[in-house]
Amino acid sequence: MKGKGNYTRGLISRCTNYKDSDIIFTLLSENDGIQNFIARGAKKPTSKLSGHIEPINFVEIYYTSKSDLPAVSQVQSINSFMKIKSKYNLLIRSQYLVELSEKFFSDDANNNSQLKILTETIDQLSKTEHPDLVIMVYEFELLKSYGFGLRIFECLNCSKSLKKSSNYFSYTNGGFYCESCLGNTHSNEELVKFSIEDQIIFRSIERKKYDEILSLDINDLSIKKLSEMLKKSISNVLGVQLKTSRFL
Amino acid sequence: MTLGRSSLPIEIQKLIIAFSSLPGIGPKTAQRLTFYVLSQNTDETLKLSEALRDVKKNLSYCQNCFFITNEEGGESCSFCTNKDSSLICVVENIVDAITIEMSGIHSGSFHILHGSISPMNGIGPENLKINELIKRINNKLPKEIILATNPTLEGEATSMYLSNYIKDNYENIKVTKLAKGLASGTDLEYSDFNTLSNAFENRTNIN
Repeated sequence: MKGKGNYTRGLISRCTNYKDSDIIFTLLSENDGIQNFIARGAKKPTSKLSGHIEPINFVEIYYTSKSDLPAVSQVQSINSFMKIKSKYNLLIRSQYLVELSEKFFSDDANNNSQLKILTETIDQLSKTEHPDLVIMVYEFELLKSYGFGLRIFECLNCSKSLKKSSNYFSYTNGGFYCESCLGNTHSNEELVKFSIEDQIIFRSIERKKYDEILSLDINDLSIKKLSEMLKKSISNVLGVQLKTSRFL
Repeated sequence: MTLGRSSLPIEIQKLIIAFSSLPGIGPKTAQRLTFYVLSQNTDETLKLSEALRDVKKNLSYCQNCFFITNEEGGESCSFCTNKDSSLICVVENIVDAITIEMSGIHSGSFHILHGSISPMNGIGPENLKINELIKRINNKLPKEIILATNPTLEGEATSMYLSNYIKDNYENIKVTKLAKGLASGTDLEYSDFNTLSNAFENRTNIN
């Protein structure tokens, strides 16, 4: 902390124009939760703030809190994710990641470790041929770190280890049922049959490291199926459909 | 003791609520405007109400460029006729089209999208006048399409979507976009990485 103001760092998740030349933006900050700031005059071409204040920019800001909405006086971009912003499909995917994180991140506490994973994931999007796999890894880890991890090794009903055969995924309960427990599921539960190969992808995500997962030979159809199930699990946890998900 | 708003006549309450629905106008300003209208003579107030009514009653969007027009039918308007239709400048809003038109630097026609792609707000290509632009291109192939969306994330997303679509579907249309970089009057010292990188990328030969 210096003088009357404060410093904070984080990823800008969204910006809204306010009055003639001001911008109100939301920051997923490292240590202070999700915060809103006002950048006065930021839309003027000669503003020192313009250019730095844009969604999916990792920034360091200096602000003063004289009113309810802290006013930003200095901004420095640390990572602008230029490669992501130059490709439409990557930009859309990174916006999905940011909206997803907004829903899970704590409003007023430290999100440092989750934010680090988020920025690494956005960075990874530009380096891979399977951006949807990268998103899946992030979704999987996010659910796990907030206590909604999927049960992929044991049956949701009998808790026995799942056999190396087809099992049935339930997104409402976030895990698998073995074949012998199918009769014990709820009537309104939608179950999707998963082959052993598809289950291996989930297990690989759980056990292996980032680079190793990306080096797996996974077909697009499997990624699509697993990704759809993960998104349904997330919607079930959040109780809402993410606005960005229909663009993926 | 303060006078609550509910004790005001219903007509005043309705006008305050109507003014509050305008962008940038809060309850206090709405109240001030209402009492100002009340203090005006009847003629002045009627002029205002007639102007508001006429705007909604007489104006519609031109079905070619999507600028506002008071011409019936709306297949084309005074803004898009007598302009070079082989050069289409695509902008987000009517204000952007007016700004470019007033500068006198563009002699071609315009196409107004009425927004930009914003996944975070649930706005996709189908919510904009993109299908109408495609129909327009199919009716008469232009030589060049200038993408003049705002240099924001949403504007860039719209521009990328359009350029990808046009490049994939039309071989002979030249697609250009406005240059990005340093604005006049700025200091290099305060420029962000994005702006500097764009300025270097789009640098021009001067000898």
